[in-house]
Amino acid sequence: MTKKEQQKEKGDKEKKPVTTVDDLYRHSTQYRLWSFTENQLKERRTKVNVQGKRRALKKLKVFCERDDNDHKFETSRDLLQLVSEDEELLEVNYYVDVLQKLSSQVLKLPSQVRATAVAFLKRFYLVHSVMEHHPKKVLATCLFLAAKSENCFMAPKTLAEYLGSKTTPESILELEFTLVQALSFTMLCHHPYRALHGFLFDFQGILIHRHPNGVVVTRKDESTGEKKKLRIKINKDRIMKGYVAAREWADVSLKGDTAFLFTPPQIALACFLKVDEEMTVAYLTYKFVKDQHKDRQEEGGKEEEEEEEEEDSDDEDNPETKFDNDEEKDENKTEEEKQKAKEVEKEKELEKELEKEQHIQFYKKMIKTLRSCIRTMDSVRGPTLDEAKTIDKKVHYCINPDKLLKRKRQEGADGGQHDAKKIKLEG
Amino acid sequence: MTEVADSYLEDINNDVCPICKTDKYLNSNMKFLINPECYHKICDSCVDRIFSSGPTKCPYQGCEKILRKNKFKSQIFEDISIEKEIDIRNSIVKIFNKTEKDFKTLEEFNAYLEKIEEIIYNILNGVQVKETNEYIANYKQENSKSIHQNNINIQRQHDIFLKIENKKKLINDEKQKLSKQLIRELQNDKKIANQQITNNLLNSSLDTNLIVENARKNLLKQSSARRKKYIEQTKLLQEKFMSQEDLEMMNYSNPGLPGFRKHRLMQQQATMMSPFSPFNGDRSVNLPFEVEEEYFDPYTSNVIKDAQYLAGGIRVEQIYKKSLFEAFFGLDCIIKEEKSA
Repeated sequence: MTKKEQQKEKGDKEKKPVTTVDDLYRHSTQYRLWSFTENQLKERRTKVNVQGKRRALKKLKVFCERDDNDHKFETSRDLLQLVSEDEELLEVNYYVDVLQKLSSQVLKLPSQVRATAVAFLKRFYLVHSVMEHHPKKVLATCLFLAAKSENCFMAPKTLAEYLGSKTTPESILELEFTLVQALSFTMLCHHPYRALHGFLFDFQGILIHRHPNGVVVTRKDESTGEKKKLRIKINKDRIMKGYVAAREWADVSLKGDTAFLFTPPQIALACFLKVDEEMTVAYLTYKFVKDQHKDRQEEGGKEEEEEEEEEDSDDEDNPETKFDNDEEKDENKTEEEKQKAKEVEKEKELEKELEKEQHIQFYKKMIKTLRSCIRTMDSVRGPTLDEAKTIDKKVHYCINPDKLLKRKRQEGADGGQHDAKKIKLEG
Repeated sequence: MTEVADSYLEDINNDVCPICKTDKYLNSNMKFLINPECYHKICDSCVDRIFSSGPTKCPYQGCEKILRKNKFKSQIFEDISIEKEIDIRNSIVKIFNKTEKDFKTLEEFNAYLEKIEEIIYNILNGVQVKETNEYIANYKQENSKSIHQNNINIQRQHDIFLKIENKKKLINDEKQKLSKQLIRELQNDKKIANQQITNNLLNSSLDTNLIVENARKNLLKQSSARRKKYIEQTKLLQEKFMSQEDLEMMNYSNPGLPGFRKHRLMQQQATMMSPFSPFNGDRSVNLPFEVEEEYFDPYTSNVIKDAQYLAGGIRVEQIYKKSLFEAFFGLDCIIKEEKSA
């Protein structure tokens, strides 16, 4: 249980409940409607895929039953290649990539708009399948709507000029309502960029302003592999460099499911952790463990002693397998502490210990979350160009079954001739 | 063009008496009057001419209503339907004149108001006219005493209100006079002081700076004394014009609220004492971060230098606070754990 939760509980007992900053996030639509566990995401995608397959077949059937052609549904059904769940995901990922490149390199939009457009596109395909609406079309509408909702309006005409001849202002606006409806009319997206900016400040606040004499970090010796504790000074240039690099990772985080599985501040911290582990771990330990404790107990003499103890929490950033050992160590030390505490004030000390334990637990939980966030970020796989092309073709025919049948008929008609030509050429 | 011409014609028609065809353009003293019986517009000279000898039929073709001269009045609202509604409303409210104080609960009072609106609507739109008129007559009979009493009360309150308003006006006039006088006196003082300074500078052997300084001090003393006097005088005004009796009457014209309203008001005030909390709980005062005075950040430092942003009301502390807030906006929401439940 975290400190905040405990505070909340206390509040419940004593008087009115307290709304923390996290509770505010829990009230946001991003949390309520667009945050999922991995299983929930998978379920949703399966559902969407089934729905898409059904719609594609229905479309084909409707087309075959029209009077102006002699296609039979039973035969043409075998011709139609439906898109599988995995392929669908790859297709969306591919177009997310396209969208990012387009908005950053061609349209040169602010990162907030880009991120919102990507979020819209990804959310849209949790409601509709690629077999219902082609991502190429939805992408344009997403861009338009994102620019509009992020207060960076672009006229559909201007946007259509950038997007090539096939996109017209009408085609952009045509899907606007479908998109808004798929988004359940929730336009406000929270992205890691602002959180990153906030951490840029708080890193400075904690690592530089609060500890002008430097902070203690654990560093692994390259040659011997031994861990050493060092007191280093972190300057603003290092933080700034980390921030710039982390921003790039924030761009990457838009791609996969990261935004569905984690909250913006978590993603932001994970980006920092990825680019400068030492600094981020130092920040986390000082922010959530050491400084928390020091605030309550302003006894200069004890400070150093405690610092040494708390260094243990430093180790916890290392792979989770280490956790058990560290916990044991902690327990040993707490026992020693208790004996000392008997002499002074037993209860107070106990309380402090409990609180400290909670801080450490919170820290561990945080690190664990960040690590899994990084893993999610790393695991994003976009399709290769060939894969993308084949999937795109399938998607195209699912949406336009008439074109598929026309094509097949043509192939059937001049298939023989083709072969003849080939043979001739080879000959 | 035709539209303009039409509206012009209409204007002309509006200004012409339909009975005697006199144009307002030719006779600027002409007034149009209406009678609440049928609301037909007739000019004042026609009214004099036709109705002086007693009640007769309305001169409009097809209108069979018998009109009396003393019921004619000038039109207040341009729209006749509004005029009509206001008349009906006034007459109904004179009968249904209970106040909030006469009811025990807010629901009863609201039902009463709703009933009044229903009656007005019925009469105005000719729905169930017979039943409504019967209801009004019955009500009038049953409550004749209280209706009379309430009307007297309302009249009295209105009289008191007018009286007090008059007095307030008088006080304001006097105040204005006094303040003008004050300004004049202050200017006069300044003139005199300047003259004295020049005289002193010419005649005395003292240090020039000292002379000026002394004069300035004297002037300040004088002006502050005058201001004090002015404030006292304005206070006296209040007492002079508003007797104790008047003040009491003022309270009378603002009668206290009925019990149920008072209770509710108290409840409202009680809830207003604590800050508004939209999320069913108070905002945590202890934010998980501290905003410091300055941070190193090229982006914000550009913003601070930009006059455009500053003029727009953007302050760097706000940027810091907002960004920091977003940094902790959901940091501890572990979706994996919370959403799986």
